[in-house]
Amino acid sequence: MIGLILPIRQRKKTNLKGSDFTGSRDKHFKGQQSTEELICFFRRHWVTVLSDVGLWTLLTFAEIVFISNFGRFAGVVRGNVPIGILYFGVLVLMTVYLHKIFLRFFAYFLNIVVFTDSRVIVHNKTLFMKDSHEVLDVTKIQDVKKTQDGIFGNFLQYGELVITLASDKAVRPIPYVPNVNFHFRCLSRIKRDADLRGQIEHLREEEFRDHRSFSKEKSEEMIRLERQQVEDAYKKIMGEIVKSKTEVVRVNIRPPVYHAPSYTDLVLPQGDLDM
Amino acid sequence: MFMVKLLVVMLMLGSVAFAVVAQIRLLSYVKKHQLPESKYTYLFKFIRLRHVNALYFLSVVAYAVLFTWITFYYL
Repeated sequence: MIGLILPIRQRKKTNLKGSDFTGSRDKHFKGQQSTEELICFFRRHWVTVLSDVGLWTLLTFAEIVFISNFGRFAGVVRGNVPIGILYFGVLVLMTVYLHKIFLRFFAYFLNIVVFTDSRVIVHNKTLFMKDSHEVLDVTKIQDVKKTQDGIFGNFLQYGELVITLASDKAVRPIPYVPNVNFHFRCLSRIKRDADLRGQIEHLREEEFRDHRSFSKEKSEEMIRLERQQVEDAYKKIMGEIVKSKTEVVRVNIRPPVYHAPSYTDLVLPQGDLDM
Repeated sequence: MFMVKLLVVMLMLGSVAFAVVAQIRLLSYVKKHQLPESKYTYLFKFIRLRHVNALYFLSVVAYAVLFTWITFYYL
């Protein structure tokens, strides 16, 4: 487990999360949905940490110089409390800067932008201070614009992706995108695929609705059948027999027996039924 | 001078403790986010998170040991 954060060879494990049972749920990142497919992800361009690399180099150089030459002015510090406190203050500053620089390096690795087949997820995170997620639905994206300004942007191939949302025309810029042409094409394809998927789903819904309901002709026929059922029920009361709800059985009606009006006279023999 | 030495030791212990807490938080993050890395997502196309992390931990420990030793040796 420690191999996740330290350069130790890891033992390969079977990924149970990727099984059919859970689909892709939480497979690559926390919050991934079971039917969601990861297309690609990226971090900011390395030019954003260039200043931190320079600062770290400077700090390391200063520490080496400080340590190697400390013996020369150790005699000044020894026994001198104010200089000792100053020495302690320098150490505090160097310690704080050391941690700060590395926390910025970590923030570079933790800030990611993920493209899935249905969402764009912008995750801004630092180790201690910040943890914010922003999720953009691909179907809600109206426009994607790429800007690549400046000599460094063109030379080092980084730029800005500007996503315009369809709902409120809100604009979400993603700065310092590395290989911006590739990610622009990638996002455009994801959007096109999502549009196509939406159209297919719409057609499927229509087809499903058509199969479940009746067309106009069928509806009229159904109304006619229902009306016939009512009429048949009425006729049954009046002396006819309806075999089923939709099929009327014609009956040879015997002439009414006026001389002996009783209930048994209305019961028909089986042979009188015309099927 | 004893007070300065004591403060330096406490500072270095605090620094190492902070680094350990950072390791724990980093581990909990990395366990949840196992993204398919490639050379296009590494820093300068070859530096991984674990390399930076190892460098961080080594730097903090080396810094603490060296400056504690210097403080006790020279002061």
